[in-house]
Amino acid sequence: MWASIVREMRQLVSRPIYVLCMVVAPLFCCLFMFSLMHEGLPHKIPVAIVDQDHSNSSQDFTQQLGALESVDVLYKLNSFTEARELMQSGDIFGFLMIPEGFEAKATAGRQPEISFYTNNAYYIPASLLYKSFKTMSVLASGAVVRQVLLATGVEESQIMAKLQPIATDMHALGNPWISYSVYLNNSFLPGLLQLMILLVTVFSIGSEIKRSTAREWLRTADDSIIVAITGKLVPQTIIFFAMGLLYLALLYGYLHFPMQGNIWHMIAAMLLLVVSTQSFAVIIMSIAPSLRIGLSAAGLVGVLSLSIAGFSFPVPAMYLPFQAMSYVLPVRHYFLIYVDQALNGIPLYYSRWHYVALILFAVASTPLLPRLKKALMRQVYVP
Amino acid sequence: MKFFHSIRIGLADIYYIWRREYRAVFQDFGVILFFFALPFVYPIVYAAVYNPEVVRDVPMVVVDNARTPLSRKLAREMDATPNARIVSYCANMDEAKRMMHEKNCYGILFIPSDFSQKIERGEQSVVSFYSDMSILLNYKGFLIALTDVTMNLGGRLQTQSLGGATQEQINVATQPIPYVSVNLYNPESGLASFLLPAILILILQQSLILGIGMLAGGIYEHHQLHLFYSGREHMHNNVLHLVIGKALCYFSLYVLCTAYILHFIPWLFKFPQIGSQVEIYSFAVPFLLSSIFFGMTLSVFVRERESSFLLFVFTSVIFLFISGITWPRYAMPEYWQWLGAIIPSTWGIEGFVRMNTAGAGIYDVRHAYTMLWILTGVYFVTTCLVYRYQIWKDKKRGHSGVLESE
Repeated sequence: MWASIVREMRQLVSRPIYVLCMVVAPLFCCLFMFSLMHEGLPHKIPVAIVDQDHSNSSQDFTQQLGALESVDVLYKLNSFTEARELMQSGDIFGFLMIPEGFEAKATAGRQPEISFYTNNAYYIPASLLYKSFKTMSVLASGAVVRQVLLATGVEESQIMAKLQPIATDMHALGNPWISYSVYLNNSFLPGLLQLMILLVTVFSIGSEIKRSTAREWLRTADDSIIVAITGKLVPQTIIFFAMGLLYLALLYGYLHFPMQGNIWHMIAAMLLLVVSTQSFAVIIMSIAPSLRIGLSAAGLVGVLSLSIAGFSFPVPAMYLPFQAMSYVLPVRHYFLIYVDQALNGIPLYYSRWHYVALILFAVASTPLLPRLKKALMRQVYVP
Repeated sequence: MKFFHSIRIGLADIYYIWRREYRAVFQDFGVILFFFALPFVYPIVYAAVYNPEVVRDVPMVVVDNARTPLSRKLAREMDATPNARIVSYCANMDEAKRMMHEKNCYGILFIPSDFSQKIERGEQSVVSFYSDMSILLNYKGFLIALTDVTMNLGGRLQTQSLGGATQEQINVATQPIPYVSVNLYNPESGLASFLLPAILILILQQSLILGIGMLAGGIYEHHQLHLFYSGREHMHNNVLHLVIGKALCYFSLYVLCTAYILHFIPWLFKFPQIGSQVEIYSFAVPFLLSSIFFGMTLSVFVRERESSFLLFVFTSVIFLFISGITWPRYAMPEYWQWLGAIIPSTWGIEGFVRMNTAGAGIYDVRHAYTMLWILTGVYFVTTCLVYRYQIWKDKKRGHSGVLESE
């Protein structure tokens, strides 16, 4: 086994592409994602106000809207068309219209209508704007009702109850800041790591066939495929696991992302993610022992994982075949373990099946190894 | 006369390279997969994954400690919203939490025992909601549903307390300033309608980069580069002919892919498609050209056919994020804005989303359009430089041979 390990380590350092894909790319991805979303939520979303009233009330309203952290009132316009054009050219993500006669109607109780428009071709800014616009509109109504109530002699202490008889107290469990950084990095970074593990594992096995060195490699393991494959993959496991640990250290140590449970549960999950993904790649190579087909499959699985594992669009809402597919992706199980163990910090018992699934992935390649060995002995390269 | 002569030779050369590159593409099964199978299959797979567009009826449970007609009404109305579905009424929070841990529900509505009492006493009553945060879409759905339900119910309670007022008086009293909200360009706030246009553009660019990279890797590892500069009288030293000839080949191959991806797929899956197709096609021209030259420049890093995968596949994710479709560009740190600005897909996505989804004309996206032409120019020059460099290096190594020998 040692001979295979040494041989593999020589290869890893002799070709820059390995260093690039095992260390530089994962490192770049995590620095990129962290710095991109370091604010957690996009602040100061550019918007426009179409003020057709030009009254004190409408100006007050504009000012209050501008005071929100999520909104930046970049333009004050006079017509809908101007606003629409700014929206289409991408200068603003939404606008709010205050109709003519706003103040007069509001004072006379003739219900002037505020309308707001969001550009939902951009999902995150649009949903944040919707929330801000809606809050401001409700508050505007509230202010008027409040005046009326005060005038009719309702006491200050009773006003809130009259304005809003049922209040809500929303608890966003584990991510009270509703931070997109917490939300996306915890799933996309392991997803990207899985992609790189799949590609590198397939590449390192396939290259032996391509370069006709497969038999030489088997000889270092006395023709035992199990020893050969273990010897080859262990150095890679160590490097990828080290990258995974770095991710965990940055996420939960440096950035203090929610870690409600025991960090060891996540470390175990990360190790299992690395090993089961390697095993997944070995399965791909056993079924299709060709470098190019193997890489195509690895790329397909790795990239589609980011969608099908349900990081952004929940798996239960997908069509049935995709739901089934999601559970044969190692990173799906890692993601569910993360939700249980880090985000929600619930007992390990509830994650048991996902650990089991990862372990099963890790050993699932063994029955296929004889098939891989045959291909390695033939070492036929298909360009 | 000499000038016309060199133009004639140039055209002949370009035509020759162009034809030869066709042969190279169609003889290489791996490249055919990248240029045709990938752009054909990926859009369909992605569209199918996100095709449900919205999340409906997310399971939740209720812990109703008040057990009054009003609290039951609140729960019923929550159940009636499209966003949520009540799967169980739990006796206490422990039971509800257990339901959540077992993933039988993603939200808990807690109604305290003094819920109705408080309202009858004329005090404000508070209900709590606990939402799982593993998927933000679930949280968003719950939040909107809960706000709407409590506000409506609250409005009706206010109405009752007014007693004997006319409908108009009630409206004025409860909502003196009504509002309407309009979701432009993606009315149901669907995930596919938002994400797919960006993915489509990215598929075009990435399949080009991968395919061109694979071709270049093949040439490099088989030491075939000399076939392009020696052995044919007028070919030597004219990188321009080589680059233009190859680019014409890729461009002509991608006309069909572009029509399929940017025109047919949005139509097939009924994504928002309100732009002028003619203008979208003319926008696609600099996008394709800049992607081709971008790919040809990057191909210098590919030393082996298959390393194309390792080098370029993961960049798809980076390019998607850096384009600003999820995280808006203005909110990024400046250095990522700069990096994004030199990637064709950033401008491609920006322009295509605005034209196709938001119905902008090509004049409205002139900034992106200009940037794409600038990138085309820049990457054309860099392509010529890296090709020149590689030929120079290849000559130094002393490879030689005859072009037709292959």
